[in-house]
Amino acid sequence: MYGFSGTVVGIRCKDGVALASDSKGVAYYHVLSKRVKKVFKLEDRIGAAIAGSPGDVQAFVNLLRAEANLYRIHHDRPITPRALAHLASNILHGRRIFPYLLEGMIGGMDQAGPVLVFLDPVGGKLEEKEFAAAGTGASVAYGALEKDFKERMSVSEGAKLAARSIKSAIERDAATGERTVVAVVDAQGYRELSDAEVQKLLK
Amino acid sequence: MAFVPPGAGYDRAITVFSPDGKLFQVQYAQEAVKKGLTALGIKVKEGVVLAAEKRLRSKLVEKTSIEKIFQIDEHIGAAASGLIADARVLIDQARIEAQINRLRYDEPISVQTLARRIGDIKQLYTQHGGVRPFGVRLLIGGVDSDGSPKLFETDPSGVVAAYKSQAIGGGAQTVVEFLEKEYSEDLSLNDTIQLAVEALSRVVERPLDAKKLEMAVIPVETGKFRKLGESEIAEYAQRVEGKPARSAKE
Repeated sequence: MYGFSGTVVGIRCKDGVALASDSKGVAYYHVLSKRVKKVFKLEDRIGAAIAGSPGDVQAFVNLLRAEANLYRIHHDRPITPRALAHLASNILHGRRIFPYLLEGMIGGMDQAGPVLVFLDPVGGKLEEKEFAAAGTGASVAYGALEKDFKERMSVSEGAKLAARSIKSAIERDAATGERTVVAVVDAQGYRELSDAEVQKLLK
Repeated sequence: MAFVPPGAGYDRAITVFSPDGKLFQVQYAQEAVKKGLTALGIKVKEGVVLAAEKRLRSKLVEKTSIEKIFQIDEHIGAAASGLIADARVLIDQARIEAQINRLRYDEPISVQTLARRIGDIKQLYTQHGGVRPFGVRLLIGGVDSDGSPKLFETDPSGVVAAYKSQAIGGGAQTVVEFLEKEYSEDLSLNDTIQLAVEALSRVVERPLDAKKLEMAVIPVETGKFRKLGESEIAEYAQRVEGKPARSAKE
């Protein structure tokens, strides 16, 4: 599929969710960009990591942000990660025959704690208790995740594992590459880590 | 041109502003509600109670087919006063809106969102050509997913307001005056049901009995709408009939 590239991962930890991605954008053998954004803030306490065709990813994220803002105004409270993931699933399934070329995950905090939901291109919605990976290098990332995931990890440990699993995908998937990007969502909200912080995680 | 009396023509067919800023069709719709039987809603910490006056036109009518209180979703109900035919159409739409919310977000609709949706529909019917406003007020009560009880009123113009307690229909003023004196948000649910029956007893033809009342509760504990059965209502009604009427004291 044109421009479908990159790897994203999400890890559900005891106190938050860690999201990570690479930053490469390719179409066949052509590198479109080395700085493609694949991790996004959707609400104060909700983030998304989405791999796919950049145009589709951006349009989809803009739509979800607008829906989250409208929900906040209409309901006098922020949307929950599960409700937003449900809505995202509806939007994707609504385009079943001419789909958004993307897959990824929505992660965030609700009243009870961290939530991670995987989404496939046609609206399949799978709530994950541990972790998820999507994109061209998902299988490579899953290898790292399966090996090192531990129950009741803190979000800082999760961020480290997320960064390392992306690093593996960068090493062994041709359509995944360049920078490792990490974001965490916890009780304090959504935060993207600086390059220096990410480098520390990868050491 | 022939002489036209001032103010004429502004109360016909479509809703058009009169020169002094009135929408007569909407005002007439408000009047239609005043001809309706009384209904009330009371919100307390333990939940919401809805009650409505019922009058059976004939001994041969099936009692359960005369409805003034409707379930909208698992956690929301509404009491209507005015043109009940209009109410039924709005209730059908409200039920659809509740299901749309569940489909869209996988969440039960909040009472406020639902009340606003109904308000939106009513407002549309004050602005479009070829239609008339809804001649009905609705009291919408329910318990939100966070466990907080809510009560809203919508009027024929589309205004939506939240209440601790409110009455609509012909006896509204009498009932509201009574509720203003007796209301407390700390009442137990049972006491609130009793208060609702007492409030309606001031406008319902005596002697009071279960056939003249329709009631529903949405307790915070369960978050589920429940209609009261005839025998249950009869117990509360008997207690009101049993004790000397309050108005006699005054």
